[in-house]
Amino acid sequence: MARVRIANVRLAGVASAVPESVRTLADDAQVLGETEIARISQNIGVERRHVAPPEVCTSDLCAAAAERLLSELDWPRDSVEALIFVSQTADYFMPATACVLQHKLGLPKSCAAFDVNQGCAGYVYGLWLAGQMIAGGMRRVLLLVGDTIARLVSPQDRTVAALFGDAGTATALERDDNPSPWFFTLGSDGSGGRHLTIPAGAFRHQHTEQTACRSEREGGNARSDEDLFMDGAEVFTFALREVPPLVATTLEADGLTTVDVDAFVFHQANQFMLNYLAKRLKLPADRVVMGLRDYGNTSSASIPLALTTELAPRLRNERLRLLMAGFGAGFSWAAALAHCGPMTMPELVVVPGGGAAAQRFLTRAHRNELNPRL
Amino acid sequence: MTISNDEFIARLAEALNEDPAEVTAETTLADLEGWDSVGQLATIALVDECFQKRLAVDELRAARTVAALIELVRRDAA
Repeated sequence: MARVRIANVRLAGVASAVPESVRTLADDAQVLGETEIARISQNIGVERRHVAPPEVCTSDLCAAAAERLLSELDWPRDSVEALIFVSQTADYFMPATACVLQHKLGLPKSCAAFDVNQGCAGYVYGLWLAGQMIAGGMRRVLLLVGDTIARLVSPQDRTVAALFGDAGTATALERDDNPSPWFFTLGSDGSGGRHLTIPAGAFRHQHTEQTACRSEREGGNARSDEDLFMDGAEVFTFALREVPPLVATTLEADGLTTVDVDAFVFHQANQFMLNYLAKRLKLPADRVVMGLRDYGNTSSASIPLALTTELAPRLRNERLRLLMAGFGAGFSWAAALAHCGPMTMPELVVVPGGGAAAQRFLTRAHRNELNPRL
Repeated sequence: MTISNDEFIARLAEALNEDPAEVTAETTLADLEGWDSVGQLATIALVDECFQKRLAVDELRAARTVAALIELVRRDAA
């Protein structure tokens, strides 16, 4: 696993946004049946999720979070030197959503902007990249991370239907003379790619009528090849294989053990998985952050969203040693060990409706031509 | 291995949310209501916990009976 140490970087703030519309277990029960949903919910620990309507993209959620964060930080827009957008649900195949956001947020033309395609490990990959850019001489970097995965799942696929929620986040990083370094560990295993994937709709298997057509698959689940597919058993086995050594390696880099960490913020995959990983790593339960109940698994956004919903009061006032670890699609995994706070932690932003008329038009076009299931 | 087959079967029944009296070595896994995707995750965790071993998922799914599962778990353990 790649190991990196980065000095002189601090988190200035984290903000998160969710769409207003909520999907509850009662909604899922209408499709999958009450008994089934009760059993799933008890296992995954999710009771409701915020789900974006078709006119709300990840970038809209990230923009709302970024607006709130920049205003509370009082950062002049022209002080932002780079914008990184990490997501698997970009606005377009082209151009990069980071450029859309640079314009939308009124960031200067001197700002470097680019997208990174990463899922559940994406937040930590983004922190690492932003940290490297600051170590390379930049002063302020804005990291926008989020997904609208709930829009990609078939409601008739019980392995994923009640699990995913949507969220967008903004993280501000800046150069600081703080001598406490960050430690990162990163890895990937593309042999597992097929276990967590949207098989069709991009260039390897372009959209056709067949790829968009939902049909019955294993275990009575129905989905199309343009819906998200997850083999939960394979993903869990992967996490059991990679996450314990990921945590151990990252702690070792700083000569620490699990008792030195104030809070473990794992990708909020599902409650069963997090509980088992915590047990396996012998972590004290009260230091393992759980933020699934009201938001579900929000893919790349889950770590910063959990910072907002579960740790904001402490992070506003205290300095906490956090171990953040993401793992998922790719397979990819990454962990960051860092002192965070006190820092700017705005309240959760709730995004009401759609974006501009032009964007609604584009979404409709997309819906009709590429994505008839919506 | 410190755990006996009987103990493992009892733990498996618990993990699958089944009546322990109803689960024996001869039980066909597919006949158990609890042997769904949630139950398979619980089984993977149980095997990891008891045997520090991660089964290949396709082999786990191919196991027809509880006895076959135990054989799989113990196969490379000696």
